[in-house]
Amino acid sequence: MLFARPLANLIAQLERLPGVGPKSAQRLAFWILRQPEDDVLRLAASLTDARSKIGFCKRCQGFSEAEYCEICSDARREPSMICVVAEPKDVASVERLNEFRGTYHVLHGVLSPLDGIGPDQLKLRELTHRIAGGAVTEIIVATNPTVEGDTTALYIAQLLKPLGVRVTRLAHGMPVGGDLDFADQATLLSAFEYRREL
Amino acid sequence: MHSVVSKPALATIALKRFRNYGEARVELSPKLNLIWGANGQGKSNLLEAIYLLASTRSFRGAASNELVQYGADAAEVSAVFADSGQEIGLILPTRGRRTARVGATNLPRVQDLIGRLPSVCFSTLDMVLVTGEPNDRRRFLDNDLSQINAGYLAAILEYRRLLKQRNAVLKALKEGGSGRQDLEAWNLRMAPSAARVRRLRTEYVMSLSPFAAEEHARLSGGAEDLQIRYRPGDDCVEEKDFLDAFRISFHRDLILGATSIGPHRDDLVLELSGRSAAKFGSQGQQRTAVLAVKLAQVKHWIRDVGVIPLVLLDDILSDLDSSRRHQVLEGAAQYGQVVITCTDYHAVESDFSEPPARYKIDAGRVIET
Repeated sequence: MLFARPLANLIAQLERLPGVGPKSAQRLAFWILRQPEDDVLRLAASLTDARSKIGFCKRCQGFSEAEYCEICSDARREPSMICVVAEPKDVASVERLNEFRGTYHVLHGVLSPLDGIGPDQLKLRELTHRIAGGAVTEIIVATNPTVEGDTTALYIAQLLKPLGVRVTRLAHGMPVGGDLDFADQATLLSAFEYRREL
Repeated sequence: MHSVVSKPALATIALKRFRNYGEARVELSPKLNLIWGANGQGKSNLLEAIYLLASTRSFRGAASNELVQYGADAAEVSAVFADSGQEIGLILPTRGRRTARVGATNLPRVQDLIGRLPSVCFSTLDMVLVTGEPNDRRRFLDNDLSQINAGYLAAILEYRRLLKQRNAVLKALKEGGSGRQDLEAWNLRMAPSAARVRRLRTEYVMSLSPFAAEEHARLSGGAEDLQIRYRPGDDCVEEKDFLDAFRISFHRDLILGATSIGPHRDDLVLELSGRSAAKFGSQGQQRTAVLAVKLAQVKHWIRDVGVIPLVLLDDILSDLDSSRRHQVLEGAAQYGQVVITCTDYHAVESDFSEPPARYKIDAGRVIET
């Protein structure tokens, strides 16, 4: 064995992290071993603490410490509008705008049959349940403008329109302050396609 | 008809650890350039490097690891434009992602390089236009159209991705997977993409066709007429047609575990006086037909796109008789920059109306002559 068993174990665990290869895992493991013991205990504690205390918000399926997340428990948020996002981090992006006053729904992924992700692997049943309550009037699908993001949006529209909800999709086009010269061609093309009357 | 607005030409091409080149840099003439030397010395490698900058692909279909000098981790090809002095480069690692750059700035995606160096490459491999599989002919259309129209590149990449995803749904269903009610969503997303790819290819072939006929008449002395046609595998045209067809073909697709409708099943047909060149043409007739299509590509660039492309001729002169050779070179001389490879300069010297800039290649080294 190249490394003592505990070290080899640590490297093997780190290697399982997304985006971490064998070399990075080794580097991280060596770094951890060189830290004061207290620091490492804090790191370990924060891992188990976060894992045991954070769960899915019962309503929006985002990460939450309480049964309902802060946004879902905020009485000032408009429950009739739901912004559907692919990942928990996307909630933060929209929140930074300080513009959207509705609530969210986190799918935890997008449809991608190649990766074995179908409707059952996403938090879609939970979304349908929320609509069934009858208070929701508009669903804004804010998945990424990739073929997978688009198809997920189309799937949601098919699923929810029969329930009498308005389903919209974020527009895509030129970035604000962007330069035509530097826009990638696909973006420019879609900006043309979705041009609007002045 | 388009008035010619640009005529990109390269001032230099540089190779590092590329195939059999350790390090080489060639200053190119804005007109005719002749690369010559014995077989296996690296003439075509030089042309391949130029075409990589144009299309990010090897015209010989080589994978990245074949392009890197033995023992090295990555090859690099770069070129400087004569008029703007702008440099473009492509780094080809043996494994992992390729990177493209313009000046010192890395482009977000490698495919963003495509279209910056418009070029048309002729090689003996182009015979697949007649003798190859439909797949080879679709690749021919895709490569060329991607250089001309960046919207096409986006469309074809998107379509390929959608096709893989839809086929994955079909496969899952075939294997008894339940809960795949998402097939219809994939149909909805794929229909406009399929319609766009088919429309752009059809339009391209339609605009190429008269030029091909014209070039063929010139090369063959008008004995036969050449027609090229885009032949769709099904009769869908609009988005709605595709959507209906995807729905109707569901059961067949389920059995196949693959999508039976769409532009990935289309073909390009070359006909000589109404008869298939692949089935009825002699080898000589087929060669002339292919040459005419390639020359038509150049003409289409000039007349319809308004750009004189860089023309690359890889070892095709030796297959032509002296009069054809003269016709091709004479045609080429009217274009912009041309880079030609051949084994023996002296054998073709008399076919040039003006002497080309010459470079002799010897074991991955460039000797100006």
